[in-house]
Amino acid sequence: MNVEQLNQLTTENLRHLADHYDVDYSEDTESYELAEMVFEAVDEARAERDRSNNNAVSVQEKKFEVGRDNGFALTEVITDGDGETFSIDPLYADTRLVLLLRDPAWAYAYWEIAPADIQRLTNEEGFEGLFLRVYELQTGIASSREAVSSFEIPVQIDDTSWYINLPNQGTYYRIALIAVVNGVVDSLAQSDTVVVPLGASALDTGGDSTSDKVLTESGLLSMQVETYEGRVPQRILSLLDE
Amino acid sequence: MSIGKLMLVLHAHLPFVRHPEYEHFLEESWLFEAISETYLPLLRAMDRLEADAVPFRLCISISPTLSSMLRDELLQQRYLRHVDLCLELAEKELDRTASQPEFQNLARMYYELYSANRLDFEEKYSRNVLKGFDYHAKRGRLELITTSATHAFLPMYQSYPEAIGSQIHAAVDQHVEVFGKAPKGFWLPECGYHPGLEHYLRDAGIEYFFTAAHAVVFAHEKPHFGVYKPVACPNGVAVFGRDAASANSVWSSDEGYPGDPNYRDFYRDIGYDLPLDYIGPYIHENDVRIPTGFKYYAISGKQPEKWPYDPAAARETVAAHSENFVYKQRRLMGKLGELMGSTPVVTSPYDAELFGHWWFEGPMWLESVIRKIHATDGEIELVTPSQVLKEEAPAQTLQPAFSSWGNNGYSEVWLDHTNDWVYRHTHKAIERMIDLVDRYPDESSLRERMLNHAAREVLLCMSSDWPFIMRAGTNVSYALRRVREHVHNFTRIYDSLSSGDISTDWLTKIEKRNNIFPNLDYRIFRRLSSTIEQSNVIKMR
Repeated sequence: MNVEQLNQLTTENLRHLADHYDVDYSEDTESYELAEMVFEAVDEARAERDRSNNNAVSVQEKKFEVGRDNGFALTEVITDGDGETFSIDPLYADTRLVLLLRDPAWAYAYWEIAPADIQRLTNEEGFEGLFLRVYELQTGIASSREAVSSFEIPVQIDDTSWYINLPNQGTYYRIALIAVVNGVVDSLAQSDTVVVPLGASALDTGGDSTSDKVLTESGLLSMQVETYEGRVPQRILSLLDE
Repeated sequence: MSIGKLMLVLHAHLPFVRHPEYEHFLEESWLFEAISETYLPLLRAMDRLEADAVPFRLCISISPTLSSMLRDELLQQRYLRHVDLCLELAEKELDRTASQPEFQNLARMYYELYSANRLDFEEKYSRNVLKGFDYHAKRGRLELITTSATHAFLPMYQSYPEAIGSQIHAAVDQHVEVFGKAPKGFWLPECGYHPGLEHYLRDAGIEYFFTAAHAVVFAHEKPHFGVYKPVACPNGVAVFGRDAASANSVWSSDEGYPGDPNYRDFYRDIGYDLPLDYIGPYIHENDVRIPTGFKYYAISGKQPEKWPYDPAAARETVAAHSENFVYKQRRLMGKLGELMGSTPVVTSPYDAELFGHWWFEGPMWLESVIRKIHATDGEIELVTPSQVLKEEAPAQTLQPAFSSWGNNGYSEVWLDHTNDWVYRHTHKAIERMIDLVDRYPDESSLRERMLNHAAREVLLCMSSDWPFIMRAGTNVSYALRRVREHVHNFTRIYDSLSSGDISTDWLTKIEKRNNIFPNLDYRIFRRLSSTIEQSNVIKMR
């Protein structure tokens, strides 16, 4: 889609797109100006994505080049051929908490509090708020509750997700969604435990220079992988210079 | 004497896109382009190698969604309609370019390409190109393997062993149905691995899988031979780590072969260049310009003006690049052999659709590499994974690390602000599906049909392609539609089973539309005992 095609959209659709792409506009912004601003925003977002893509992701994107919206999502009514819309509920009236590992430094948590629980909490005069408690564990055994350490992240009652920065790698984390009422904590939901990898090579734990040399040939620096903790040991970098 | 073993692995996959409710559906062209530009050209390359008595060994993963589409009669008919339209355009192009010899040669090239495609598709393969892969597999040249049923990115489903098991078992069942034998290997979608996955694979009879390099390199203990020997998970399933260096020389558009100025430009297409009154019938309805597959320009370097594509120059470049690839392999293997004191195994996996679709000359390059390897008189040996494992035991037992081949090596492509909302719904659908099996463990007739289709919709909503496309930003409305559609359909069945309000007309309609896995048994989602969950708990260090 180009600026010309954007100009053919209704003002409502254009504003919808502008909101989606965080375009700063006012009620006075003319449609043709808005179309240009949206086009630039989408182009910029695409360029940013392209810069962050590695080879595998870039190649895969080529499979889906043919498309009707070329980045301008949300302009098409989502229906089947008979006009049926595919409505889904945003939430499920459950109290639940799920933790997903994104990489060795970040995890994503999503949760939901059942309407009955929300009502119970908000009706309490002594309701002080909610927080996520992040536990670092000694083992990954599901029943283990033995925390090495923990920290808390305050959240609002209408929040439903959070990206959590994990302080340590090569360990285990789980989280709990906790309400505080009159100074007493009430654990509403617990996540499963996630296993967080080292995110780095165990290379410099031993003195096997042959395997270190083989690993340098493994394309240690061309893996396009974010490394954590140990990074690439200096000893290995010097091998690469040889 | 062999100085090294080279394992070329192609992963062929497209999401299940089939819309009988529309006469024309734009996204179905993903499949048509791949048939025209990748699958048929690759099969022709294999046929030429066979005709010239050049032996070869490749490993190809064919996703269950792709094999379902390739066997589907409606899509086969629509492919023929598509290729006929391409032929019609080629004929018009021969006329239009009559006074431009450099372009007319290319119009003729496309005419010949689509003519060959039509002939092969209709006559040689009776519309089912899987027959071509099966032909070479039966002769020991291809090792065919599978991947998860709908290409789910499995690390996002760690808390749902039933869903992971279903993705793997449905895929294995489909492979047996299509190719008549169980696969020994498994392609993890996006090389997405998390510790414990090997248990589900072993349960399904899988003997090996592939990972990103750092799954092995960042393992909890040092891999003695890096990624150049298969290793074994603690439960014995073998792992082949990807060789990043050799992969990048083929994948990269900047530093790799596909970016050479002599190769055909992927983006410049007459669908964008020619007037609407001429090109209108060959693009999308409402004059939405899309690529037609007719591309007349070379990449041409960094200057603004592109030069016409010259197939002869491209062929020469292919020869040079294949020579360079073999040279680099020989040099790498020689060096590794000295360091390791044994023969290295280099694992080079690629997206199959890289060859031909994006990199037009890719199938020709692959054929040329195979011919040049043959010319080394066994110095470099092309191998399949099963062959390697038959000849040598895994060099070491270690626990691979969480990893993928996506950006920065983990899950950020499939879990970011554009797509993270998806998992709330797919996870819920899985939980409810497991509950349904608890509630209805042994149903028959209509209720069994409903449950089977519910399971189908759950698998479809788990596809990694939808979050991938949402992040890529190129076709977002379609990806949104698909997640919503499958969750919606599942939820409607779920609610109907509770209320007893069943619309058989509607069920029949969606069964016909989403007709993948016709023999799926909903009990595949039966609740697992805690045994397998416990066995997934692994030691970190």
